[in-house]
Amino acid sequence: MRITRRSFLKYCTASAAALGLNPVMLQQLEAALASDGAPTVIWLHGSGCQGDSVSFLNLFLDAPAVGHVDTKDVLLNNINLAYHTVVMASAGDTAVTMALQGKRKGGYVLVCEGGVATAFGGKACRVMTIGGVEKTYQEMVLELGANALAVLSVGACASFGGIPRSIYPLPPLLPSEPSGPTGILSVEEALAAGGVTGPVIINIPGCPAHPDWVAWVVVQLILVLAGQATLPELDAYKRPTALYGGNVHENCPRNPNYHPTVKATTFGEDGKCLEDLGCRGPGAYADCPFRGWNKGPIPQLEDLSVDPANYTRANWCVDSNGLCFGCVEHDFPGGDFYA
Amino acid sequence: MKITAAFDPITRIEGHLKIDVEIDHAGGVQQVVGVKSMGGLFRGFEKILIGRSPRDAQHITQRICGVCPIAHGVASVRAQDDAFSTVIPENARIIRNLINGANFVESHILHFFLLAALDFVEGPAMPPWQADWKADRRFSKAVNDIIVGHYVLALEKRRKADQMTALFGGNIFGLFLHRSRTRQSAFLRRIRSRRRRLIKTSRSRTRYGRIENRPAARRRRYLRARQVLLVRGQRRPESGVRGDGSGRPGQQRP
Repeated sequence: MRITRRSFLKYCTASAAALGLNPVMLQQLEAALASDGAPTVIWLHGSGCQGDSVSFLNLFLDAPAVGHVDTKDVLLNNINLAYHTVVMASAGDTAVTMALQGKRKGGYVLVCEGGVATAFGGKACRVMTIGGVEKTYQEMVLELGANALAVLSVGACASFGGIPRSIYPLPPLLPSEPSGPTGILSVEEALAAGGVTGPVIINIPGCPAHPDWVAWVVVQLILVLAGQATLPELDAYKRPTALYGGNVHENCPRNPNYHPTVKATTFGEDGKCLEDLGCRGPGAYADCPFRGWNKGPIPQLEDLSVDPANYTRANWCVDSNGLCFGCVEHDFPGGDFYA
Repeated sequence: MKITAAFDPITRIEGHLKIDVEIDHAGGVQQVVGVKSMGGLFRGFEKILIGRSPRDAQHITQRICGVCPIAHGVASVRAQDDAFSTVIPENARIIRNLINGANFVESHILHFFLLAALDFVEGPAMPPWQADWKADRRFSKAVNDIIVGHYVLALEKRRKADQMTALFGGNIFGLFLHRSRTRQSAFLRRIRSRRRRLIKTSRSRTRYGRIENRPAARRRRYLRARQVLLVRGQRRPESGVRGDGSGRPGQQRP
């Protein structure tokens, strides 16, 4: 069941296109994994629904050439997941000890999932008890973020505040304020407010974040920590441009070559542009139209001879005649979803 | 002697949970005399939904839980059906059941194997799958290994259940459920006009607490905005929009 670094590399080769790796980078990754250095990862859950963790569990490729490679293998053999409350076996003091050990050793990556609640002294979200004292998520983000090599904000809540913050735009003369009552800050804002400027911050927004996006950033970080690559290029919202560079509307199959097909006037009309119904594709930047969601050998579910290169996506929001909600953008969820 | 202990965090659940336990001698026997459980997270979804279009509820409420989002979405959609007085078509009922059923399968596999099973079986011999306690392990080594094998298989099977949800609903959170368009439009027109009125008069008060409690700058901005809106509201009848003589003075806006 346990797989080797070699197998992880094979996994990366098999899904090189999906992870955006070129042959040179694959060689570098091989070198990085051979040298040493499984980075310790501390994964904290804040004001969010832990859907990003559940989404990340979908990172699984049952390609016969590689053998079973699943999230567990990726995590266990290549990174040291010290603290993750959704999957870890231990609880209470034992679990807390693991997080603190990781902190003492240093050189860890902090993954934050969920926004930082600041109302009620931060007690709207408390995460653990250390020595009889309750610790809020705000305190732990500052405490663990101060010494982290890098901070990954996974999901819309951690990146920009997301649903718990919910800034609803009001008419221009009235002040727009978050509807969420718990004073949510993004992880980046919370670190800045707490005076922590050291770690590199990478936002991986999305509601939930695509498992490939998280894997891509983890692979890049392994390369960076081994000195094999520089940090991925980030845009103004600290999102990797390689993943969040393309406009959803421009790449949408319903909008070929900038000549939109007939605009849909009601739902349930296949192949028509949903812009008039409230689709936020024109303002959203992500690679969903290419990457799709819930990748798998569809429709031959049990046919293991399927070539990984031919793996198709199961679906994505627009293909199901649903709207793009722009969940990767800083103003998600914004105003009303439906026009 | 009284012992109090806190278990925080309780892991392998969706959410944040803390358990406080009190142990004391009662009747000469040491026993648990008090237990308190505390949820550690408050987000205020009710507050977040205030002021939004009712159709947004099915998407916002799904974010309550990442393990069982669809159940919240379907509950919200049923509430909207009641509000819109909609009788849904047969196909809508079927696709809702398919989406809900797919998530039902996914959620149960996730809960049984990934969340609950590690309390009863020994996980793989590496962190974070190893608990530091070995209480109440009743399975033999052979049975334990079979269940751990199933644990790995469960990862794959729950992913396929997720694919099923995606086939019908886009992705897990992008659930789209059909509804009668005409009834909905009429309802939404009512909602929108009411919302416009609220913005003009008392929205800021209802949404953000009493005006007196707000910072002075914001208060000035609010009053200025309100004055502009009120002036606009009053000018309309005077400037002859309804100046055909049909409007009686009593109907004019105060």
